[in-house]
Amino acid sequence: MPIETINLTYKYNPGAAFEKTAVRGVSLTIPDGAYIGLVGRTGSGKSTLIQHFNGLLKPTEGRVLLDGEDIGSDKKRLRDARRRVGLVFQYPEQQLFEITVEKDAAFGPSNMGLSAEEAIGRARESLRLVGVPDELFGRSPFDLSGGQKRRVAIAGVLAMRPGVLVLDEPTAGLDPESRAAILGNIAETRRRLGITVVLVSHSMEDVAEHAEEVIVMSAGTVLTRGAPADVFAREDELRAAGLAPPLMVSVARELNRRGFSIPRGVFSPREMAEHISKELRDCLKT
Amino acid sequence: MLKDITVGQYYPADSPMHRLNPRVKLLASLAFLAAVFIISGVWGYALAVAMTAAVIAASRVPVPYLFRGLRSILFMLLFTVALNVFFTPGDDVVFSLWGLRATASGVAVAARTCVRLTLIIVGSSLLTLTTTSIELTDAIEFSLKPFRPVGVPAHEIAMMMTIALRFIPTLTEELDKIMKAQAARGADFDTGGLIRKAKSFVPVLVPLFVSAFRRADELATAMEARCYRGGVGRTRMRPSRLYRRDYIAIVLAAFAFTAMIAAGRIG
Repeated sequence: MPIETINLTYKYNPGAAFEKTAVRGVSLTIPDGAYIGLVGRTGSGKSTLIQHFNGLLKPTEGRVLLDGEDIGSDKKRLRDARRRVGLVFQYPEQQLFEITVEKDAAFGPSNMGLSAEEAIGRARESLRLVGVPDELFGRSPFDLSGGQKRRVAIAGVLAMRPGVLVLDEPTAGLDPESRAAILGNIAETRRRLGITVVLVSHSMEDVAEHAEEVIVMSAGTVLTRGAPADVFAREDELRAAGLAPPLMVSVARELNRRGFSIPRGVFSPREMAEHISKELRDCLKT
Repeated sequence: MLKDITVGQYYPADSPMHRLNPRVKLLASLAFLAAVFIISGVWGYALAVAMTAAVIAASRVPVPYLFRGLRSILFMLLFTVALNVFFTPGDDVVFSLWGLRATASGVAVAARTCVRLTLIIVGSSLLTLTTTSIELTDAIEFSLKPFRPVGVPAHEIAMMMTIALRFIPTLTEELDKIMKAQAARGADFDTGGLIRKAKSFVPVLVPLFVSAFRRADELATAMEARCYRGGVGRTRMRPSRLYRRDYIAIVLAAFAFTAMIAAGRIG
């Protein structure tokens, strides 16, 4: 179910003294099955843009098409859009409210009109998918650790079985281990269910590692879009947008300046180490 | 929708009203509220409205912004008006509706109440719109000081009010965020009867309270880390001083309030 925005503009407080254009004239398509990294500095319009994908915000100008159809403002259609495009907000653990973990994750499906058993069934399925151990299902969500809480919140959205999963900074404020684990869970979920993932992130490393395509936003517009290797090679452009390329890109540049020939698209320390040692070995041979 | 609440908010601008001493502003506002209840007659009201308009102009707060705050009390206003129109006793019936008789004196009372309520809301909004919460605390503390010997904790009350005012925008922002997050999970806040609607707010209120308590806790820690221990021996970074403009404002206000009350007696 592709998402398409056509000339989308959104203004906060239109007509008032505090009017602010957060998104200006964005036209983009999120194709089926893609894993897209949406990056941009704070205030570049990422969060505002993604809230259009499920109709939480209505465009000031322009349109949003879901599966070729305008989301519009019809109540039924909106509800449908929210089910099909799962949106996980920043710090989603702050919206937990139920008595038990599984009841909280069942909130979405029961709002869709499923029976209590069906909803709980889906909740459990999603909780397992994101790696919440079974023994926590009956516990209060407020007793869990930060990383577990966030998993529960993500499962709450997944339980609606969306075709597109949009995550706004899903790893913000977590320790490195939980970060890696949650991103791993998301990748695994995508592989198993074949859903589209849009990952909004400040972390170029996370995006470089997981996304197949990167969209860079700056001042409410799409600055550039492409494969991570191509986008991150354009360092000056990224820096102008207030972003820094992944660490390994900078390392590769410095090495290449000193006579190495590290190819583009090397984002992990492991790959980098392999390239360096290979070149050194070749060097010793000659 | 939540952005419409302007009562208690500060509107940053550089105006004569913003520069006035907060103590003068607070006492003048209280005097104004009292005067609004004393005035009578068309001229008294006309003067009060004219004076409010002058203060609005001097405050440089955009009029639409100011009146947006009134929207939230529109229901209360209409309710009061309806009550007054239909339930004021009298024989001078103007029209009747479903067996309820509207009297001419009722209409007059309703009009008066309506103007009074509007003036009160606008008057008190003007105070908070032009005064930062720090200034306001100072003014509240100052005006409660005379009651300290009888056990009124002036400083503590002032601090509590400041904190409450300070957190109104924070909490509305948070409420908006949580409502959106639950809406993304299919929550529906505006269908069904009263009980269903009330129930639909549980997923919003629980997280809101959790975060409010967390914030309160953090704030308490932060205050203690700065050695806060109440008002005893506390000095001010910017001691409150009266300038010439404040004396002029006092004289003007005293004159205006006297004129308002006097106009009612004559007309």
